[in-house]
Amino acid sequence: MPYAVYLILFFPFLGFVLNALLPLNNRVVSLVGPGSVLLAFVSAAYSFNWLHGRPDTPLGRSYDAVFTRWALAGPFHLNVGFLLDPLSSLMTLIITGVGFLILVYSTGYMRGEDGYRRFFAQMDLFILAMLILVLADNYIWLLIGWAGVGLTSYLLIGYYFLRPSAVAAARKAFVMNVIGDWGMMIAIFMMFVLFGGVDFNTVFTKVHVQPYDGLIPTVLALFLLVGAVAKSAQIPLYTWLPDAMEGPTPVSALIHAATMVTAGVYLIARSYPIYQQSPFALHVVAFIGCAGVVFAATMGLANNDIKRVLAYSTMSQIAYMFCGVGVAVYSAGMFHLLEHAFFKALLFMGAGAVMHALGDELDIQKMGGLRHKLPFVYWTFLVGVLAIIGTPLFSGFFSKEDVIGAVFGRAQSGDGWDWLVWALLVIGAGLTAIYMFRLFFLVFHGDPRDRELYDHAHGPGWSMKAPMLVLSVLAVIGGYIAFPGQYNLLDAFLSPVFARWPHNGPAIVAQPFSLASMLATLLLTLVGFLVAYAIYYRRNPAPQRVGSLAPAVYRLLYHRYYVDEIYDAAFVWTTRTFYRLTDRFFEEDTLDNIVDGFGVVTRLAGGWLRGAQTGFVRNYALGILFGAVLIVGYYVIGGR
Amino acid sequence: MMLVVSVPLHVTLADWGSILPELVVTGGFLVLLLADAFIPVRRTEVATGIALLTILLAFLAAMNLWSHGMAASLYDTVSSDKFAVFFDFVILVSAALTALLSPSYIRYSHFDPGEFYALILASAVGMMFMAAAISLMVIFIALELLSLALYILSGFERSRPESQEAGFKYFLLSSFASAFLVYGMAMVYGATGTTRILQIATCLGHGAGCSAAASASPLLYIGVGLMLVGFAFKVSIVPFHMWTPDVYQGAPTPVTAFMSVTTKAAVFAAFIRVFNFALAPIESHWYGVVWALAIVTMVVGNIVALVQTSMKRLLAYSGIAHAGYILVALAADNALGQTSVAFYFLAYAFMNIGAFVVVAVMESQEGPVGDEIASYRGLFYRNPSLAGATAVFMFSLAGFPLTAGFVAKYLAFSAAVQAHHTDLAIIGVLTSLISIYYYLRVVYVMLRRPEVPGVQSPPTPAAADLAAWIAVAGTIGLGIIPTGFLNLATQSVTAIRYIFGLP
Repeated sequence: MPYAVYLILFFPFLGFVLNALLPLNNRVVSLVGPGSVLLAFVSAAYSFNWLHGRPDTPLGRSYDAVFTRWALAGPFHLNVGFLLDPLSSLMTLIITGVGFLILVYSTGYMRGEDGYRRFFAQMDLFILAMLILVLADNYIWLLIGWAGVGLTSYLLIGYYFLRPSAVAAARKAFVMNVIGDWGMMIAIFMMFVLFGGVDFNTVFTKVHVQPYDGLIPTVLALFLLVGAVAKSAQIPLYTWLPDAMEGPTPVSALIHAATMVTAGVYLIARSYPIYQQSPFALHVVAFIGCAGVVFAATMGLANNDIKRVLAYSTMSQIAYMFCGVGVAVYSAGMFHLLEHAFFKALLFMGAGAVMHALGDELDIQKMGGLRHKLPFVYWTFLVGVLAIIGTPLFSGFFSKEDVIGAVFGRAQSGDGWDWLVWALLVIGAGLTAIYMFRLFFLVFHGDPRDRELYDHAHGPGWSMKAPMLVLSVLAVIGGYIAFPGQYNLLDAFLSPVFARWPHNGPAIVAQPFSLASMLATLLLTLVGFLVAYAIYYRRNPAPQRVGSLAPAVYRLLYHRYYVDEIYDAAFVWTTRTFYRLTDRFFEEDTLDNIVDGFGVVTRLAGGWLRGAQTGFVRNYALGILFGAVLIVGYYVIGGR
Repeated sequence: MMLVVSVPLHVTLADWGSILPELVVTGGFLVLLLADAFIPVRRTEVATGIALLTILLAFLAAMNLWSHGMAASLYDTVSSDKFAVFFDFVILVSAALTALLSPSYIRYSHFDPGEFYALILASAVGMMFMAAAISLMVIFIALELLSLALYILSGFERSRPESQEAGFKYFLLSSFASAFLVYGMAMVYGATGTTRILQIATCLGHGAGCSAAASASPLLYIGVGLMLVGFAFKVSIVPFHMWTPDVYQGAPTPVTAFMSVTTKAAVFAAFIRVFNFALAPIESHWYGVVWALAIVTMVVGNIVALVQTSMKRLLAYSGIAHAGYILVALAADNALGQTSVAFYFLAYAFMNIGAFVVVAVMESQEGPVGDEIASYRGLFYRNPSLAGATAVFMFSLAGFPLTAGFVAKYLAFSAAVQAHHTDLAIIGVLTSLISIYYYLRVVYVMLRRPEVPGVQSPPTPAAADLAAWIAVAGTIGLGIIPTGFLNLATQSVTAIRYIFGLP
């Protein structure tokens, strides 16, 4: 029954309403929050299974559930409609599956926090918005979900709203995401004007008629990309993501690692008929991706905040996904998205467990030697690290290999630029190994650098351990849905989506396996591991000593390339100065008086007209007579 | 000249079926009058129950009629087309909401419940007949029926002089205006030789069935002008509006809630039948006057509302302003305009009665000062759910998106644009802009810190609470998913246009 797609949305909605409106106690909230998402997962799994049983054709594998016709304006109409196809089905499984595990984890992690119910209400709302985003069958509802996840992200980053840094971080994330929303809206306006509709089918059918590499598909794709870049924290709109770590750790795991930040990748994959019409836009996506891989990884090298290192790693991994979709091998990007959801959620859960053990300490320079105190966290974190750096036979290996192999394949037949992308991705793999093992060694190996913190460390409870265990298993075996050069189940599953609408771009096929590319990646990963091992294993070097190897570079990385400062000077300062000037010289003296003047005059008129309201029946009757005389007089005099 | 009108010789069962909703409500009215004498205990609850049951049965009858209506029945005097049935729905929903908000007020004011509901139902019968009438005579009789009940209801609170004053004022002025209406009808009859709306339309459109000079006769135009006065009075169009604030303020709040929506709905239904259908062929002759009335109404209603301190008077002026917006849709004289009027009243039923529910609750909790806007200060802290509901109604009345009020206003103004009356749409938007000030002032006052912090309001009575929640759900539901209800409105207009041979 295809209506299960409504249930996927209904359960988180119900969870949100119950948690938000009813004064439930914390035990009920712990049941309603994860329970509603579990039911959504069951519905998503059911829908997946139903879809899988349908004929393996582009139309057979897509079902458009129209809930109701919504907005009507002349010939234009818009449905509240949900598109169930392999792409959206995969996303719903990730969102509800990983979401459920993280909410279970949250019941342990958030225990005893103020606003426990608020937390779960907002998490349910987030999952609802995210599901709307991926299930929408038109760009307006996609944008509604898009803005919804932006809102809930804002609310949850600012969860500790008494902490000024959390409020500032929330605001920053919101402003940057609104820049992205603006880009999306411009793109949607263009679709409306050009194609007369904003539902996927109309847009994708009509965009094909636009000339290949023409201006219109390129502009459309680039405006959509503004949205994707802001939401997925890619260059240049990424500075909000490290700050977003001010939110509770489950929020970082769910929103700022596993689901919301990957929405940009989903958007590009979903809009493939537009991107396929514009090789230029695809190149931009790939370049943003490969630059981001290295850029974010280097910033991760010198950071001392356990969650921010993971945030930069998230940015770097999403950049890999961008490269996958940027070379028009969309299934590779989606594959890495899937695996990343497993191992990054796991890593964040590990980081959360460490923080939990150390009384919310974030500075890795104060940690060390925790493998004795937290053996469970140690082993699961190790699985996550091995997965993310692409150790063979761990999940990250398969998906990263899929992306890098796809770029390699395209480069062989491409215009030369793809080689640059490929090279940066391979270098990025090496850097990933360095910063992840640096983090791992500094936290779990060596001697404790803060004895007091170490002594008070305590392990997590079962509600936190169980989801971590499930995710570690998935972080190992999740990748076996594809094996380089042998089979790729995900590509086969997704292929009907990418065959549905016509396009003139490069053929959307998985690229042939290349041993050379794989060996190069593995070699650099090994080198990265050895560098980290040599510097950080057992030795506890002070950051100053590591920095002194290359002082200028270290300072640049430590200050994150001064990008925040540059943005402040270029945008925040100029805007602020501009509004101060206009406020002083234009607003106060001129506008205020004009606006107030209108108000005063209108109110005066109201007071004057009220004078006619004497309360005497004779006056009222006179008013009626006056009107009647005017009207009848008009007809008598011949106003017909 | 001999007029030959074919009349069926007897009334069939189908004729009675076509007025079944009206008959059910009449039955309820009689039962209440009788039962009132015999209810021993819990008089208010029992009377409310009988009223609600009657409304429910009438609603079911109306639903049945939706697909089995007759274009004309009972000697071509009433129609049970979908347009009439749609307004039946609006009137019945309003009556149900009124019945839910009344009990606490009835207890507070020591009303006789049976008599009160009987009069509400009697007035509803008049309204339903008015929406269904296709003869000028029936329009007039229905109007008198609904008005008589409302005169009594306005003065129902005998212990309060303001209420008596309201009842008497309404009676005097309304009779005065009715005289204009009936005189106008007589003149139109004189010019065209018929009181039947369909025949007036054929006469003026094709010159069929009447003298060719009819559409040139001065009698016709003076008649049109006088009818306009009569209709304009009933729906509070400026300058025939002056009774409105006094009567709305003086009448018991449930009565105000009821009449503010339903009278307007019923009269506008007849207004549309007469002006958009019977008189459609001479549209160019009435458009100018309606145009001027709409502008004056929107401007005066909104501007005077700015300086009100009483919530009920504020809502009275808001009602005048809304009558202006609806008149814009009527002036458009096209299918979209008629659809928007129908939809407007559905939206208006929820948001306006919702606002009066709040007033009734406030009055029953705080006494007569509950009507003062100043007494709403700090309501968000005293009673968050009631204040939240009030905010929804205010935003909707102001026409904010995602509320019913926005969709209704949007449709009305786009009908004007479609009819190339862009000037009316622009003035409508500008005057709504003014309205935002006084609607949001209520929200602002509610958000101000209370003078005495920490005091909680007594709980809202359950029935009134239910009415408020239904109204909130309707206001937001119609705002977010208007499509289904818009479809009903479109169908109802298509049905009536089909009868008159319009696309």
